[in-house]
Amino acid sequence: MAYEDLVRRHQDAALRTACIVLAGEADAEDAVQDAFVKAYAALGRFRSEAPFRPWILRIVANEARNRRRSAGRRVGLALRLAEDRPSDDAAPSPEAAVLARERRGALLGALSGLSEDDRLVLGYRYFLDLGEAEMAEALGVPRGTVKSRLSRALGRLRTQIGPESPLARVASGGPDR
Amino acid sequence: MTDRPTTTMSDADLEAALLDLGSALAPLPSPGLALAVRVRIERGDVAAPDRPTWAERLGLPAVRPFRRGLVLALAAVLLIAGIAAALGFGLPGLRILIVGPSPNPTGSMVGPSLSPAVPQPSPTPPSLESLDLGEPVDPLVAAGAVAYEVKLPNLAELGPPVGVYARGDPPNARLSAIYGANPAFPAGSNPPIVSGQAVSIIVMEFPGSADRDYLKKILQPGTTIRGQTVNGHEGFWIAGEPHQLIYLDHDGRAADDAIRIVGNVLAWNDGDLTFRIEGARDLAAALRIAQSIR
Repeated sequence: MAYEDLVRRHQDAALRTACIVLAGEADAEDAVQDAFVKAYAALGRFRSEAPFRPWILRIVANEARNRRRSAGRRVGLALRLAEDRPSDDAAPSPEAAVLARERRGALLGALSGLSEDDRLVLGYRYFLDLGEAEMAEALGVPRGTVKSRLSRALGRLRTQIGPESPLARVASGGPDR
Repeated sequence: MTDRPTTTMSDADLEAALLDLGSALAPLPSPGLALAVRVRIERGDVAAPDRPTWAERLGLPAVRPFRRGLVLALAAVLLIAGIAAALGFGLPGLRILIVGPSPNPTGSMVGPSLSPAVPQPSPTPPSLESLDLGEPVDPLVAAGAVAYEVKLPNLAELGPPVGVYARGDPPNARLSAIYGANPAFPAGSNPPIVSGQAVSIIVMEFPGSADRDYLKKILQPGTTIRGQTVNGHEGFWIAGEPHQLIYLDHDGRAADDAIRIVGNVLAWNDGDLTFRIEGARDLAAALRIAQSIR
C-alpha cells in the first residue's frame, strides 16, 4: 500500500512533532496514528503539488493539541535525551559529557515551560530542520510571519533559561566552557 | 571563581544549543505504526475522502463510503485510546492497540457491534510457518537458545508441548510452546495443524524489557479487555471476537505477512519476562495453565 510507505517516510518527523506537544511517548504514537488515518481521509483536500511533510505535520500537531487539551493542561514534553554513547576518538571526556548532558537537560526543561506554539516553531526549525516555507505550511501562517514567530519564541526561551541555568553560565564565558 | 552568570544568551549561542539538543534527542522508534495505520484504513476506520482525486491519481485504494456510525466509532477510538492509556493496557514487550471498541461501565472494554471489516479466520488451517514461531528447539536446552529462564506449563490435563520454538537471537528471543487439542483444551475453529495435531494452546515467553514493542495487538470490535492478576502479577485478559496480533521482527519491523488472527489471550508480566497464553476457551482455563507455569 503506497500510503503505508508515506507513513514510514514521515513517521519520525511526525512522532517528533507529537512529542513536542505531548508529555508521553505512548500518547504521541497514538496521536500520530490517528493523524495519519485522518490524513488519509483528507487526501482529497491535499494539493498534490504541495509537499506532504508540512501538511501531515500540521495534522499531527492538531491531533496532539486536541489530546493534550482533553487530557488537561499537562506540562512537559515527551522528548528525551539519547544515552551518551562515546563512539570514536573524538568522544568527549566523562566530565564534558556530564556537562553537555546537564546543559541539554536544562534546555529541555526551559522548552517545557514554553507554550505549544513556541515549542512547535522552535522544534520545526531546530529539531526537524524545516525550511521557512515548510514551517509556514506546517504552522498554518504566512511565510513572512515565520521569522517573527521564531524570534519571539527564542526570546521567550531565553527568558525561561534564567541566570542560574548551566546554559547561562556557558553564555557568560565562565569556566564551564 | 570569576564566573558571572548573565541572563542573556546571544541568538547564535541559543541556536547552537538548540541544534545540539536536536542532535542529542533520543530516537523515537515506532515499529508497527505504519502497519497499524494501514490496518485501520483497510478496516474502514476512516470516512471516504470528500474529493479523492489525489489518492485516486496515485492509485491508492478507495476507503469506505462515509457512514455516520464510523465517525462515532472513530470518536470511540479516540476516547478509548485515552482510557486505555490511563489504565495502562500494555505490558513490557506487549503493546495493545485499541481500535474500535467502546467502553462499558464495568471497567472492562468491549467493541461495538458495528464491525464493517473484522477479518475472519481463513477457511484453510494456518500453517506452522504462518504462526511465525521461529525455529524448533529441544525444550531441555531451550534456555540456551533464549538466554533466560525458560518456564513452561506443567499441567497434566494439558500434556506435553507438541513443539517448542525460539524466534530471534538472545537476549531478545521469544520462546513459544504449542499444545495439541484435547477434551480439556479443545481447539477453536480452523486451528493450525502441527505434526498432525490441531493446536489449541500457545504459550509464549519473551523479555519485555529488551523491546517494549516486541508484540502489538490490535483489538477488534467485539473484543473485550480487562485487567487480570496472574500469579500475583499485573496482566490482561483479552477475549471475544478474534483479534489481530502484529508480530514484529527482531529489529522491530512489522512484516506484512505477520498479522494473524488469534483467540483469547491471557498476558502478564513476571519480572523481566512477559508471558502470554493464547487460545484458552475461557479465563478459568487460561488461569489453570498460568498457575502451572514454573
